Amino acid sequence: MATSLTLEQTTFDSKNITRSVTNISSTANDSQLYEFAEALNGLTTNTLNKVNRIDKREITNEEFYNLTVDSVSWGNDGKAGTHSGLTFTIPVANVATTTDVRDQTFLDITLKANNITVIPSAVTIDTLGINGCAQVCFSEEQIEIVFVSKITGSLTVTIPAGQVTSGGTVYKYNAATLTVNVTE
Amino acid sequence: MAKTVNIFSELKLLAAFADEDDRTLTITNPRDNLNKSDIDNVGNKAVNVLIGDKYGADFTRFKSAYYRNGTTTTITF
Repeated sequence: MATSLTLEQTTFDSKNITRSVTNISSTANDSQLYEFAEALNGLTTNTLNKVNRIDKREITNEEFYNLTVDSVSWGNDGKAGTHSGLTFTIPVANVATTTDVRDQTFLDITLKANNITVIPSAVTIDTLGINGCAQVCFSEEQIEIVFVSKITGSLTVTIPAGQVTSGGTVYKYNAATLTVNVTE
Repeated sequence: MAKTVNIFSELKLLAAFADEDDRTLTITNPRDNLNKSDIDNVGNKAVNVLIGDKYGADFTRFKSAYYRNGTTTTITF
């Protein structure tokens, strides 16, 4: 879906003008749009007064986005096993058997909603159905699942609905469930 | 009969998209002495922002840029 961008400018001879750029990605966030508008204006002698985003859809606080996986890394070698959608599968051989090899026993997942990084603050983990122990932590931009013993089976991480703010816009996202399978 | 002469100048940027389609952006009142790095700066900001007419046809780069300037004369009767 496309949107457009208008730049309200004042020319060197003090005339107020409005310029528009069409075919703007609707998934570009406000910061990206403003920086683009500012760069375009930088080619001119005009003064940039205001930048407006005109979506064919209205972004309101009631609009929800689905979470998507932006990146996954497993352990200190960066290998992730496989992932499809919000399901991850890790060979059991990759899961450490002791608690003192901390840097080999984590799964880092970065989630996005409308291209905005999401750090859920109330993630819960369901350890039913697994044999072993895991816990959920947060790093600066990621959900981190730490395996503190060798596990087998699968575990479920539930991310509640929430919101993230970027460029003055509030993006709400739906609840999601991550499933981590540890296979032989 | 009155004659009005206006001076104009504009910069035309030829944008290329992933579907090999092109589109021209016209910038009025361009600054003097613009160089490639000025255009590249805009091109870098246009990635993931400008899109083409077809799905997945994102902006890739500016292929060329050129100035046009001159005068327009309006005659009012």
